[in-house]
Amino acid sequence: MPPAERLREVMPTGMILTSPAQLASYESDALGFKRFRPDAVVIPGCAAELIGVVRLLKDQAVPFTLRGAGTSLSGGPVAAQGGVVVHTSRLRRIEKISPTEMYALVECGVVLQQLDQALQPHGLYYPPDPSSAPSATLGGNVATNAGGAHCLRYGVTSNYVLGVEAVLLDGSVVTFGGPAGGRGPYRDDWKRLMVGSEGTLAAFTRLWLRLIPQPAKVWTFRATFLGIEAVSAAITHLATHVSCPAAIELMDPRSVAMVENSPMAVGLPAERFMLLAEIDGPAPLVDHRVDAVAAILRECGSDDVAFSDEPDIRAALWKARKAQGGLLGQISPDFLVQDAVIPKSQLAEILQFIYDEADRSGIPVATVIHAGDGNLHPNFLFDSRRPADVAAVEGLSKRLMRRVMEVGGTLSGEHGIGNDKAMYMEEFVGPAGVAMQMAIPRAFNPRHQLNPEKIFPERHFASP
Amino acid sequence: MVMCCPAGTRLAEVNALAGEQQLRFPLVVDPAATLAEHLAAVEYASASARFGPFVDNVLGMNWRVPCGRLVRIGERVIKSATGYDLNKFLLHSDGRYGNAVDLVLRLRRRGGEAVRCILRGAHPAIERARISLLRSPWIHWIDVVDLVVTAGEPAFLYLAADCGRGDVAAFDDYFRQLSAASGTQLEATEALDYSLPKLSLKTVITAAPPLAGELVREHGGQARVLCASGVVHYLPPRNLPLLPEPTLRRLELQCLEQGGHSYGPWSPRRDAVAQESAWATTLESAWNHL
Repeated sequence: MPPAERLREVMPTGMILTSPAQLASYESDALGFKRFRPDAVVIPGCAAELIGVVRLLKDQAVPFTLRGAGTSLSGGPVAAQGGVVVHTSRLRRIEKISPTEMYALVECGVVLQQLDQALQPHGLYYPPDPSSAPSATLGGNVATNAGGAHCLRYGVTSNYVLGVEAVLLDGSVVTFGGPAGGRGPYRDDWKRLMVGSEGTLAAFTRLWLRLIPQPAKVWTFRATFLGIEAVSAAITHLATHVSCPAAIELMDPRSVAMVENSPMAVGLPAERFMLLAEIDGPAPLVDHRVDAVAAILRECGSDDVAFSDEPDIRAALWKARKAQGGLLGQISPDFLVQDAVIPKSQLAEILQFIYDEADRSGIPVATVIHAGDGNLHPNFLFDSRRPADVAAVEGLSKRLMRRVMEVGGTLSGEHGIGNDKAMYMEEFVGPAGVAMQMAIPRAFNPRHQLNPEKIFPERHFASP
Repeated sequence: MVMCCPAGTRLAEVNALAGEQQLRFPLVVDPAATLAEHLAAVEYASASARFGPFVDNVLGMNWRVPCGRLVRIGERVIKSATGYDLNKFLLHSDGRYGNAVDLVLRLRRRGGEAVRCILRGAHPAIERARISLLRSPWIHWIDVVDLVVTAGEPAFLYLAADCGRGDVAAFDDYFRQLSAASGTQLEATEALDYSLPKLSLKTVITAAPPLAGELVREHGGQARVLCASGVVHYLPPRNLPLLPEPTLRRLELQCLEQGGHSYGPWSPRRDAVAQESAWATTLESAWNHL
């Protein structure tokens, strides 16, 4: 019996999708151009249904893939080998917010912005803030170890995961950690392997997340710079400044031009880098640092430093950066965003490398950078209907990744590997590293039935 | 802002080298102890209040697996979502899967000035100060929020911040306000000497102070509560060779119920549970034949 038919035995009517029109929206994640149509999509509404679905699919011997909102940018939550997509967005209960113990217990399908709104009245803060926060699920964030603009000061998702409840392929439901954020009954800290495992080890049901007090006061700075050397100097000075900026974001002149040539224009000068920085803290501490931060920006060569602690003005200062991602989809049929992290000292060299390689390949590129931690997002714009474009972008990505490795960087800072970067993993970690890494799915998902062909290309499901 | 150094490097040496660049590695319990000794004894230090546990501050390592092969694990940059996070899994694995040979440490800016104080007072006053601080945005800027519980002495709260010269007055004002609002007495202090604990207990934030009180009341010695981390570091009296096994098991159980655990030299030996044993065996057999 086909898996979809068996699923109807454990799922309510309407929660199993099989028509081509329904499946089309599950063919890709936000990466877009790599498409894999699943055979079926199942949408459990609670943990018990999710557990039932995992157990049934395991017995059906079909590959299956967990998926939250599908906002991933690495080709992670897609049915690369066909089979079933398990869509978890209906598991969206915030079960508990504990202001005394400073944690939240949430179901895996809770949207990040939903949690942020729920925390506001408590004066609490969950810092990871990927740009997909309005729609991304926390389960997906944990699966990819998501970051965001403010992780420079506050850290990424793995710094905030206290515990993970998960369904394993043997059908058991386990809890790694919990409110205390330790190991619980286990000898080893398995939670550490679950975070960032991209849906290849288990299906998450609930998450315990660490919370911190909201920052009291925030100042946002925006400045433009003519050259990469000047803006690099500003980044270096800011990153080591006593104010410990929460965010240092950079848009290159091509990204600035893209915004300024759109209805989202904010009046930035042409041919300039735009740098955004944010400092926060208690007012007595942060207010007297404002002039020093502005002075750094001016001394490094900016002649249009703007800054404010007023929410409306701060939002206006952020506008160009926030608009950039959405514009990519409007001006190009497809885009591929890379996610490498490099030592900050290599920023100017790698950015020039990207320009040279992209120009040589005839591929437009617009780059934004989480500059404080060296996390590059070059967006290569192309048309996937043209095989030459696809080949050019893939060649570009390969050369960029190789250069990133040469300067001591890493393949992904916050998007995960998915199937987009899996081909670089062996070169990055080496044969012994592959053996070390591949032992982990062997322990939890030995046949690669869960989310095959992600992280390592050799993770291929072969039915028994 | 990273430093690569052998696991046998003393923390004092790490910070002497980092200091030349106006940087520091803040997670220090005992400056005379090595990184390897720290990793074997504790997962958190006082400065975890601001910077998180060791796993968040050790970015990568050269790891020797039991078969003798050296494997590069983790990164040399401060952010990564590349593959499974072996670095965090292995760091405190107590030698079961091998040992760290070299470590890549994430360094932080050295402010240049230190503001330190002790808050003393009756238990409710100390609790008011502790809770107020944990819920305040100041917590993001204070390196040490430790409740120090010593046998035969009143408990006190020890606070310390590394900051710039221009920030000293703001910290002094805040500590004074905190003291006044909580009804505690504020004293200036030098840095308190710490040594590596024999036992470390990880639990929820509210459970850590009573656990520390119970330990010291029943067995003497000193317990330090790393208040923001929900961690108790226990330093026994000199004449106590080991806590009784039932006591250790009971303490650990109290932590397990909250998803915590015990750690360090006195932590009771824990065998892998059945399911875990299978996972661990899979890893060991793969990693022993690289």
